Amino acid sequence: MVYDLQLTAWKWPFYLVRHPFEGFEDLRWKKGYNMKVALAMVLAFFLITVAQARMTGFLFDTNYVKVFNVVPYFSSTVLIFFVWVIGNWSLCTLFNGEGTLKAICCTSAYAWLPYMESMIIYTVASNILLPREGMFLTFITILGLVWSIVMMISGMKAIHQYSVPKTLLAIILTLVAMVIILFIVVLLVALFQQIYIFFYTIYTELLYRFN
Amino acid sequence: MVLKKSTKIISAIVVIAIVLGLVVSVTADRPWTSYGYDWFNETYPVQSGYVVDRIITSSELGLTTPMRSPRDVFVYESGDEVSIFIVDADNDRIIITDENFEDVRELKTFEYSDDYKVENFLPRPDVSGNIAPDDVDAYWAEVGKIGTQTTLRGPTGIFVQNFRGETRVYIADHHNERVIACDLDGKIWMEYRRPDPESFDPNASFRPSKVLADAAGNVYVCLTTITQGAVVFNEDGGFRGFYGANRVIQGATARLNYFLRFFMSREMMARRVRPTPIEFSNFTIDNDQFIYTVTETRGENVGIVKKINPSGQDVFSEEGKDDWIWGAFMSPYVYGRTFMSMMVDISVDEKGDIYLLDRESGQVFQYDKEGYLMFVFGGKGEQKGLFTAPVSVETHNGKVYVLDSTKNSLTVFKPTEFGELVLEAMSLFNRGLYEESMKPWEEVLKRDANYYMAYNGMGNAKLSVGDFDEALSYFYLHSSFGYQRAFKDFRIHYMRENFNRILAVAVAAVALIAVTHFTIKFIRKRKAKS
Repeated sequence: MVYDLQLTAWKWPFYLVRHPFEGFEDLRWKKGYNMKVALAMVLAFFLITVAQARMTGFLFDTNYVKVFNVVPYFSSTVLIFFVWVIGNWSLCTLFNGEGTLKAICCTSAYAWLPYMESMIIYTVASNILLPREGMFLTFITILGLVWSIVMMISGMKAIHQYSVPKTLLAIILTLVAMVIILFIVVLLVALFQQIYIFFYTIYTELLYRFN
Repeated sequence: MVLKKSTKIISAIVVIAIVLGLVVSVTADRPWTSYGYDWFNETYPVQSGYVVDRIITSSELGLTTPMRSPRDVFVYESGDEVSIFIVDADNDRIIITDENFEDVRELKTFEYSDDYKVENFLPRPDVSGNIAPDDVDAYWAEVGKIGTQTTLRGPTGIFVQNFRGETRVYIADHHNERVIACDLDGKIWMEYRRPDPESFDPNASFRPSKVLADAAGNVYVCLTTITQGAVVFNEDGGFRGFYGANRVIQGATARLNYFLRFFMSREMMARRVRPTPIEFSNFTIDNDQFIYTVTETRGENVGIVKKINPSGQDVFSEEGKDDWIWGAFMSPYVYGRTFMSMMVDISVDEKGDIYLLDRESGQVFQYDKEGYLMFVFGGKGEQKGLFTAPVSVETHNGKVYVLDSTKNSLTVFKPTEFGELVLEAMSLFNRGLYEESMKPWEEVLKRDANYYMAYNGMGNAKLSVGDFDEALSYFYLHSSFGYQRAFKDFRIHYMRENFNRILAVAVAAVALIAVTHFTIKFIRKRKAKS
């Protein structure tokens, strides 16, 4: 741990990328969590995903461009992020985790920085490279993803003060919890839709009766 | 209501014009919709490339007995004379006519002429030098045939060839289990029959369905009952081998067998069902002696069309077109599979364009020699230009002939003005004359801006004159492969042109960063000191 570390809030994620293991202990010790930075990063993640979908070079573009819909990109970044945070928080509070909701939110957001960087490199380089040079892009993407996953595991370990096996178990159970949350959300939406249709039917029925 | 006289006249003219317009528009319409496949393999409308030229029926040919389920058509050109052969299966005859369908004659009885090569049937001694008495008897039976006559039984295929000046006709005589080789007057000079039991499974039937011959005189016989491929005979009737079998589909059975091989004995494995390749249904040969086979299958990855070179390799497969989708299909973005196409016949014209006949949809798919779709025409139905049971397709001199075995008719298609433009541009393009093809492509785009192949052609033309920006913008619309080539050249060109500038900017940027870095450090140090 670096005891005399003094960093402004926005510099923390970049420090963490360079120090993926002891950096999160520093973060916890110095209470460097900042919700504004975290939310800005989630927003940036969403924007970068959209930019990658729209601005990848022609030779690497496999998207079906006849229809472009931003909603799937939103739900696969922002929505899934908050489901992860809530799932992890609700699970780890039961599992003696020490992390607060704010800590989980910030750590999870900061951990995706390497992947976001690799996406930016991919998008820019795909406009310059040919498909047969595409292995560089694949390499960079995989590197970014693995780095992010390592950071995520290390971050979860630090904020909850878990051992490594327990962290991995917690992450797997968090994924299960996310599935359950999404299932319940879909169920709720469907039920409320039914209720809405019920009241709407009554409304139209009354209209026909009194007109 | 009182109308002015002029108003009356005008309204009358308008009414007549509308009625006439309706009539005209109805007659000008084709009973099929012409379409192509775009970048995402989704259909889009294009202008028609072909129209019906004429439809030939039995009465039009002046036949006393009408055709009954004709099975094959062949167009043969020698010198300036063109003859069209129609195999009339149920009447056991061959109808021979000319290009204008005026001079019609039938070939019904065939004679074993003096040219009949009995020496090909001479008994051969076996390993120990003995000659089997049965073979001697068979030889004398062949000799006795000379001067006698024979007829066909359910012929299904015909091939005519100009072999070093003489005209050779090969007929697949389906139910007589033989292929006869004769001349234009029906004088038989050779017969190809079931090979010896040691080379051909004696339990399998030998019923030739299609036949062709290459420039060396080898005869290829397509049987729909065996899966090893076509049977190849030497010119003298000797069995040469099998040719062009399809691959085994690596499906569930093949994988399970591979797995079970670890546990089961040889005897047990021998009893298991073994996956067999699908037999191909038809074939054709082009001027360069490539043999094209076509397989009636639906969506399985077997290479529905194969272009086989003389050494037996599939050229399309070598080019990486194993999973090329031929015929009608649905967008892989929506369904991810081919559907419904059952290719029954294939024809290749002198330019190398490939014509596939789809039994299921009644459509003819015209591809260029690289396998890119040019036009789709025809369909299923009763109207002119539609078919109920299409069986054979042939091309000659730009015209496409399609034989229907239940309508008993031969439909002749000719290219429209638009079609001719595309064909001209395509032929220039495929010969590598990109700049020359630019003019016809521009004309094509004027008539139909949807015709995507034109963008590919324009892109190549622009690339060959070094206009990268234009080339890229054309390729951007249709061709990823073309874009890749253009982009590669563009990148090198750009770097060569601008290398000094790029280097200067890079050096300046590095210098700037270094200078600011050191300045900030220096200032901080001074602050810390003071």
